[in-house]
Amino acid sequence: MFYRRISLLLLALTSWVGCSRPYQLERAEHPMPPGAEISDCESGQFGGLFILASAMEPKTFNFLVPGDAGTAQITSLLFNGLTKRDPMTNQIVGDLAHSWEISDDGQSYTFHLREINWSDGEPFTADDVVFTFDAIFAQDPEQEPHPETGERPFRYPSRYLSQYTIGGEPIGYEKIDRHTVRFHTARVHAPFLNDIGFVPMIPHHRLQAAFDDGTLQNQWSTRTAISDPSAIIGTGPFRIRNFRPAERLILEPNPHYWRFDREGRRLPYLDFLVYRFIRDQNAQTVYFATGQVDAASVPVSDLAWVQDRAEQQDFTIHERGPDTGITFFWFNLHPGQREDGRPHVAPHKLEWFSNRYFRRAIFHAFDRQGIIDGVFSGKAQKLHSIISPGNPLWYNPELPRYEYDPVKALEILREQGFELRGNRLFDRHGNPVEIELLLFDGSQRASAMATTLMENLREIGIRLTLSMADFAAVLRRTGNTFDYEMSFIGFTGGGDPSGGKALYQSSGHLHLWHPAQESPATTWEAEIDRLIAESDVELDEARRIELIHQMQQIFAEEVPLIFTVVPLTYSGVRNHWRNIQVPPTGSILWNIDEIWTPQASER
Amino acid sequence: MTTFLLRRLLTLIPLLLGISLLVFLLMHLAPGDFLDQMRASPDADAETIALLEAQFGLDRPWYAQYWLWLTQALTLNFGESLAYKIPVFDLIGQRVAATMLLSFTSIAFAWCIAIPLGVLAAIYKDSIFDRIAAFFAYFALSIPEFFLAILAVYFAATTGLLPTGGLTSIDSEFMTSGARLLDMAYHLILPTIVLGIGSVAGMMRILRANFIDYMQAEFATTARAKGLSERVVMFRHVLRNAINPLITSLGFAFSSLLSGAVLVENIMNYPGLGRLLFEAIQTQDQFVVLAGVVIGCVMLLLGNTLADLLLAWSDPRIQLENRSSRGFSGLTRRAKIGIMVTIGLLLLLAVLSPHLPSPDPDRVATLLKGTAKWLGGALFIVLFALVLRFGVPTFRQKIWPQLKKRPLGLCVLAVLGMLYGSALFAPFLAPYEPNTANLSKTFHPPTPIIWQEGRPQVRQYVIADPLRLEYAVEADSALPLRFFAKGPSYRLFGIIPMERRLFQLDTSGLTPEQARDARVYLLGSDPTGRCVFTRLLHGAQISLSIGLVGITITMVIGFLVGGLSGYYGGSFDFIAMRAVEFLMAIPGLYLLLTLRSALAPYFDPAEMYIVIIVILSLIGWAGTARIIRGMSLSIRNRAYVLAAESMGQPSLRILAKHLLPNLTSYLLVAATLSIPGYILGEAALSFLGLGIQEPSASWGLMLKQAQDDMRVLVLNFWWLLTPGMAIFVTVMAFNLLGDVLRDIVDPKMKTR
Repeated sequence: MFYRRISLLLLALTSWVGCSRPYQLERAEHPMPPGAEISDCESGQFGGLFILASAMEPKTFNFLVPGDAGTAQITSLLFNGLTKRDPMTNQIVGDLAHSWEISDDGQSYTFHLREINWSDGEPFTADDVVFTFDAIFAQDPEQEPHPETGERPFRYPSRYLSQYTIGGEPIGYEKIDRHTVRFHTARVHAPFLNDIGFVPMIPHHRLQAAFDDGTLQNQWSTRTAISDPSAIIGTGPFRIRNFRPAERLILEPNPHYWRFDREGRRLPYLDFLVYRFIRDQNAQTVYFATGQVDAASVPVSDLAWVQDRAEQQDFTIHERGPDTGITFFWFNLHPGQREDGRPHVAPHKLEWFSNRYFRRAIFHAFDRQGIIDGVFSGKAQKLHSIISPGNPLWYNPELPRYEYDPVKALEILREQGFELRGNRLFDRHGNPVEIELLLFDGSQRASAMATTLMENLREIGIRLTLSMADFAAVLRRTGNTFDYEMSFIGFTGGGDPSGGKALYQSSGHLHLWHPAQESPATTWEAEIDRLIAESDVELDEARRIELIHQMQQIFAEEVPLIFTVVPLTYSGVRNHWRNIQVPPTGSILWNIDEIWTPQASER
Repeated sequence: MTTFLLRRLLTLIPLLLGISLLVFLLMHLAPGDFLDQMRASPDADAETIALLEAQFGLDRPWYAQYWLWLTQALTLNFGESLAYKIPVFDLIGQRVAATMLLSFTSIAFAWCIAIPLGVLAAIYKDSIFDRIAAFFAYFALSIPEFFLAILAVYFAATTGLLPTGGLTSIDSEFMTSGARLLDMAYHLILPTIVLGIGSVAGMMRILRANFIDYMQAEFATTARAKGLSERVVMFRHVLRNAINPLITSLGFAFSSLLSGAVLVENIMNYPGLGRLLFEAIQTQDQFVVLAGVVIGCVMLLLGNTLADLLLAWSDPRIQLENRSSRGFSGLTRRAKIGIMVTIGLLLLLAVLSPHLPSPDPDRVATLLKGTAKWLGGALFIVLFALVLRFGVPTFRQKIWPQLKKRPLGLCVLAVLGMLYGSALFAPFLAPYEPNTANLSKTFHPPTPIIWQEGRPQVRQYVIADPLRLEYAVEADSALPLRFFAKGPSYRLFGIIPMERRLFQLDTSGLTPEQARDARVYLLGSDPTGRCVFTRLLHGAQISLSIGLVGITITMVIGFLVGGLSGYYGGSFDFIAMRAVEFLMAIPGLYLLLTLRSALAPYFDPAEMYIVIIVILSLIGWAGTARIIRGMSLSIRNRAYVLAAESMGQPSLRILAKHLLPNLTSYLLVAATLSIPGYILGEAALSFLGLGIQEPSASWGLMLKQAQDDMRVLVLNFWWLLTPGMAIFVTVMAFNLLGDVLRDIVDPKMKTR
């Protein structure tokens, strides 16, 4: 009797549960706007659910709030800039602007905007562009104006402020007509077309009220995405359907999107694009390998076992070439003193560190092949330049290289007056060569590289000691108190080299070995500054590349940074997705609006 | 009833004031702030950062920031998250439901398992079922929560029976509401079990002991004599009485589950509050942390109130109004005034602090380090003396004769002796230095020892597939092991210089290159080719000693504070107990994390050992002090104490001569039972990446490193998880020993 009741209950439950059907998106029919773009991709069919995993979830959908990588990844699907860089050709192409003209003096740019609509159906116009820049340069009415200039501090501090301040002045912008805007810069700025694409356009008609009452920065938060996702209006291929913090974000096609396929069907083909938020990188890999996620980057260390499941789960792993980031060791070259009069670096050590031959010798003693084999299972390259080979447009492949050669290292050191007594190295004043390496904790790769360097240097009689510290403490000691001898860090890279000025220029705050110099301390740093400044105003791209190549040459000759290795990157995608085009760098899903699957109808 | 609730709410105000001030202070003790990440990225310039500092108010001194927050908080505006730009309570509201759900299911799970098991174990006392239940209880009590979580995720990933993480599946978006509920329930199974199983064990044991007591109580006999069936007696009469302590523990469980889920949420990818707060502490999103801690305290108080109400409902003899219960609930008016004064003083300090010199990080560091070293050293010496004076005689006279008769106790003692012995002789037993890496032999499998040519030998392996980490045996490569051979030099116990090690590879017939590469890996090698066996031994030094040193400090402070306040009573007692309650009202793990982020930057990672001990003892002494106060209260009125007093002995002498000897055996038991807490605390911190740092080794850190690398899970699951097993065995041994000792010292509390 009892069991019968249970089984009846179970039956009822199954029928109740069984009511759920695979969901199909109802697509609204909106006419094609005049400014639409026809994609020349292979035509596909509608439908499909594309699942991605992401370690970081969006913290905001408002570009005025400083976000992180997780935020940028989502907002790039919801909004567009005026221009963008085509990842396949590495050329700058129009995004919301379909064409532009540059004045003869190279200081003013006229953009012709596409006649398209926002995702709520309202037209996109020059007013939206002007509004976006008004928001960036908005002054805070609650702050006191500056006594001399009469300008108030900016209301919404963001990285765009410095990006669009050229030659010390904010760029000028004006509406010419409904679909034309013109920008003006105080001096020629070569990467302007690249930089102008950074900022996503926001709708004037939706946000003007918030701009007026000062709540613009509080708009479009995660709260909006949860309670009222339709309030977030963009021009991108997708809009938000549902956001569950720490779980997932479901995107659905923007019904007013402006790209169409050759048969006149509105892109994107996908019914849904889902981001699952999985903090742990390992768990993400497992999700991909077990078929719960459609595309993922696969770390080198997991390559083998993920590859084993390729056939069963029907996916392909694409080799993407070297990573765009760089990692390196450097010596503290700061000649200054502390408040109490003691130098930041002991004078005899500063003498070693400032000697380029000493630095070259260290480079020669560093067995990077060992790291590649041991830590990266052979799937990495030696890094020779301050720009990664993963950024081929700017990378200079013909630089002096410092291959592992301890004998040569010792030879160089001897020429510089160092002497090997027993198994210890002494400088010409008789000081033993001992260096303390300041390393942030928590990264196994960093520790492995540091231990390898330690072992390598022991071979040439140099005693390297490891001092580990909290990341915040490393930042403080290398950036504020300069109380260290040698350290290690990595930067993500890619894109136009003007984005790395803080590192390259002697005045930059991330010019790590001697930051924020008032005037260049050495001739080679002055030369780098000159090259950067020249490349900033050089409109001819070939000439710019030449200048950046020269800059890399100086870095390679002076070796202020001891480069380590750059890992190869891999991305996997399930095979049933069509129109996948793997670019040399950047996201493998850059053309997500064109991706489709023949399996959609079977779902 | 209303006055009771009202009074509870009123006590909350000073508590929250004090706690928020403390947390704020701790967060600002650490150098750096929310913008640190941005400062390290090349595309943010100094002016933007300065503007952001001004916008967030981070350029102002901490007391000004706190004052601003406090004045806003009075209007129920608890600030905005710096990262999310929305009010913190909105942000927390997004996550709290999931965490509450998990808390609820795991408490329900624990009760549903613990009550029947406890009752059955009591009714069928000493049967085979009782034994199995007891074994299960020890097992559940000893397995670290995060280790269990890893095992659960591994189980889910390999079998595919249960989801590996999350709360809902993607398909649930398109499901009917019924199916959605089922989907959620399906996802809740594993986290519920992982989180609930620890409390099952504790509750079961308490219930069993209580149930046995009440089975022989007079009212039970009366009921039986009246002719009631055994079933009615057991469930209507006995159970209702026996369950009281569980109800009291409910309140505590409620709040600790809210904060205790951080680890499980992180491993099982559960979308709860713990993950949010953990991130907020790491990125120094200060108002989110504050709000989280405030909510934690409120939850604790609500939980306690709920427990009191339930208790009153289940046991009509208990009157709410007169009950003096845990936490701040039973405060007198004098108490409230006292707290107000304390808070007032703190606020005064806050107002005055602009005139005090601002802390210089280096000076703070030396001050902190100096205090920690001297205080720690002094405490250690004091305890060493006390142990010699009282502990050893007590052990020899009272405990050893009894212990000798218990095989289980002897067994456990032997296991512990072995563990501590191998930690002590780690450099001798280990074939290598803990940091001797070999990048050509990463993730090396354990090397079996073979018998060849009449002596033990070890084959050499070369990597066959670096991606798959497959190793192949080198032909004719067997190398003999030499015992008591010379190896890398070391200092035994940190003093005696030695070169002999238990065993070494005999590399005499090889070229120097080959000799450098030859290895014997008894337990395999880690991602940089270091010997796991060696690191396990060296890790034991840290993991095992942290418990001893921590408990030493805790017990000394606990005894001094608890003993004195029990003995003196009056205002000393009052202040001490308020401090204890204050500490106990802050959710443990949050306090741990905030303290860690405040202290860690002042210490080198090599000194993290000290930091962890300081943190764990700072949090731990409160509970001990409270128990000892209760005990010394009862001893104080004994005739011999009164006699000593009337003879004019000074009170410290009375404390040492009369109180301490009587408390020693209790202290011993309490210490044994709390050591696992320290071992697990270190493991949890290290596992979160916040504890012991490279190049030192500890079991928690090793477990984290094993879990960090997916290859471990996929390719060689078991042998890199040996640290997890080591923690488990140690904790279980201490739990067993503690119970045996308790049986000896206090036969009434007998559990088996």
